Amino acid sequence: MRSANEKKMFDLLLDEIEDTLHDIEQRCLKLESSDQNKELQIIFRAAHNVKGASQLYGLNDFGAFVHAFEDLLTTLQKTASPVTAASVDLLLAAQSFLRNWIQGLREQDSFSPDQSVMRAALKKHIEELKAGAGSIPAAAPAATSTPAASATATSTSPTAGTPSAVATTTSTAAAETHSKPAAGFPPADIQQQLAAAVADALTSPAASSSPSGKRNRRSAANLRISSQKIDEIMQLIGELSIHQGILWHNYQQNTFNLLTCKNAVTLIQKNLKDLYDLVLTLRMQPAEGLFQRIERTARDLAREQQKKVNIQLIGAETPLDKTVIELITDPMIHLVRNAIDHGIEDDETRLKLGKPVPARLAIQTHHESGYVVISISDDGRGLDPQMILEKAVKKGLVLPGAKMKDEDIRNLIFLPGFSTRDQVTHISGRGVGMDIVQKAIEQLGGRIETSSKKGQGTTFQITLPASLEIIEGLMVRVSDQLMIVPRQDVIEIVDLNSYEVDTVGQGSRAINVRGMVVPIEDLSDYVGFDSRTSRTQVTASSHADLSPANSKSDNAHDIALMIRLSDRTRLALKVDAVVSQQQIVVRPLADHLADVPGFTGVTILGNGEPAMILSTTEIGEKYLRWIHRDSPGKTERYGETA
Amino acid sequence: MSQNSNKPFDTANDLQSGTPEIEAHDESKYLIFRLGSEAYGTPLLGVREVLQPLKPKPIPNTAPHFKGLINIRGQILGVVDLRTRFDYAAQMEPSTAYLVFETETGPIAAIVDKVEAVVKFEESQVHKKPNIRSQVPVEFLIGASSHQGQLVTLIDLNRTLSKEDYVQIQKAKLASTG
Repeated sequence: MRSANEKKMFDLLLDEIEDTLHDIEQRCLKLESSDQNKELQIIFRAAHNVKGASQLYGLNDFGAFVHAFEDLLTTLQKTASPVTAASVDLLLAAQSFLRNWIQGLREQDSFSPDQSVMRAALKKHIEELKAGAGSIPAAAPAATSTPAASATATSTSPTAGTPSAVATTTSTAAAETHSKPAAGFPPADIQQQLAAAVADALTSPAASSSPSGKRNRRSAANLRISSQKIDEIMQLIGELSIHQGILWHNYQQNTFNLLTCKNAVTLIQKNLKDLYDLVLTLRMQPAEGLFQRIERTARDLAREQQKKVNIQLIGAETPLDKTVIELITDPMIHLVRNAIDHGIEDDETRLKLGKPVPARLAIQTHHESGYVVISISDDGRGLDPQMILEKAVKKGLVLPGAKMKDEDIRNLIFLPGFSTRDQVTHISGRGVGMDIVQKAIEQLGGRIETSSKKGQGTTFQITLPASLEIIEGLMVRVSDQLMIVPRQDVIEIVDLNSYEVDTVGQGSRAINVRGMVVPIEDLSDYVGFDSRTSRTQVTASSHADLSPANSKSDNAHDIALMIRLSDRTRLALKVDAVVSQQQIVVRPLADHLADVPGFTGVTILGNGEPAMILSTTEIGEKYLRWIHRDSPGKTERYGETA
Repeated sequence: MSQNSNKPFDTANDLQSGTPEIEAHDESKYLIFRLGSEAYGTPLLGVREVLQPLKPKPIPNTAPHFKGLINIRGQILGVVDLRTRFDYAAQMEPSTAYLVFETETGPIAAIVDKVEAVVKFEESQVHKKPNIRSQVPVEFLIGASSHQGQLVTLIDLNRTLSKEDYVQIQKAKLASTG
């Protein structure tokens, strides 16, 4: 039994090993394209450290496996011929095995999976390498990667499905393995055993039951931060102390000089702001870690499908908020899998079509005035509007005969119920559709757009607010409650009184703003309370109303916020009043509140009250679904010419 | 190990005693509280603190017994009225309290009629699978015991609330139809 202290040390050890395994993976991925000898040496050193550390803590089985891993590395170093994809597959499979082992150890510190199959595979490969490099073709296109590797790549996601679900994935993947492995690579039945072995490492003791709780959520709890930032923080704190000292001194000496105090307090305010901003940046991590996850998944999948794919990663140094990284990882993995599984054709087909082999998968991220834009593009078969439309009609999501623009047809893939089990392969997800991807992105306050040309490829572009932490917010009153609307989501604040309000259709209202027809919706129909108190009753607000000058107090209800519905359409959300604009700190909603419709976060107002932050994207979505509820294929929308 | 305080997490005491783990991980301590005329107990380990009632900020589209949000020292907690959730009458009395406890999805404040005491129940004192009729669904019962002559129904608060307890889409425009 370990004492609390020992447990802590043990957890730290596991963290450290996990970090090293992460580096090893990165190096393995690089092996195919860089100075192999140097990389092999680095990997060996890393593995050696891991072995030493683990043995220090009595993890002898673990250490023994790492030793076998070292043997493979040594053999590769000694072999004259370059490292093949097959060898990299095995290295990555071993890395996954070790990584899952660590996960298992977090739950049960005596965890030790059956390593016999993996060891056999390693041993066999080493013998083949020693026997003669000639038998292994340099770039083995027919070699299949260990299916287990791709399955396990998903399991490391903190929000992954239960290990038992992944294990099923693994075994079906193994069954699907094509029967032409390259010479030197374990034949199909060994593949299956390998897959089972790694899956075994996944099925750690507490697997099937409840989430094992805190110990597994390491990535959620810890951060790597630069020591330079710590120094800067200490400096700011030092300055704060000085100013505070001045005030205290004044107080003690009873020499309250107003001017001195004002200066001191002002400086304190500045220091606090700087401190705040600095601490916020601590949460920013380079996209590199995210990219590596994705690269690994993409590579494993491409290998498994025997498709040659060139994976381009651009913008790895882009800093992203830690929470953004955590929440965007799964959707991105899903999109990448779609691209490789459904989008990119197999090598033969591509050659016939005159398309380049290897195929291209590019993942790019960059900052753009307050936003982070992430795009995933491939040069595969693209989205076929006709097929999508047919499918949507078949699923009853769209009326037959509906005329829709290509862009709108492409967006049909985001409807819940679009992809079902028969369509989605075991690889692309366990029935997880694009609607889940879209929802996840919306929860981050972002949006996802598609552009595609049939036969040429598809690009998914995700736009997210750069920092989840602080945004400019418009405080509005809806149903006598104060809530926040993100300033950047509001295109314009409209005084309805200065427009002619037309009635369109059945009771819907709209205004004409510089040629564009903008429908008006009461925000309280979405996020208000039913029991309305009388109009003259004003709740807790010491802020001056910022309603436009020409509206009188009894017309205070004619303010609307214009938000974006789509590229060319807008929606005006009527509120009771716009109270103020201020910077607010966004806090994510607790899990149990995450599904409350219409909101994307919560904040604390100056008076200490919590206030909800509106998700205008969600409101827009709900609005569109509402107006199309009876006729999902209808194309009559405001703002579009016939 | 000094015992001169009744508070469950008396840090000063714990630090002095030098063996904090033993106190903190005592799984046999329960916090007794009241809903209506019934006495309930929940494992002390899961209880963070007890507060005087505050005024929660209501949120639209939530279940009726979800009263809203409060701000406790910078952390935002949801407030659930346990009394109405389990079909008791709900009134504000001087003894009404907010019981803050941990759940899998974060801390929650529960409105209870009264927080009574911290009591230690040994294994032998707890009747598992009691055949008692309780307004709390049977799945959540840990067992029953008695304290000062009264029946105490032991429940694990951390498990009694699910997502459906929080979100309730009341507005037609929000129901996401296909």
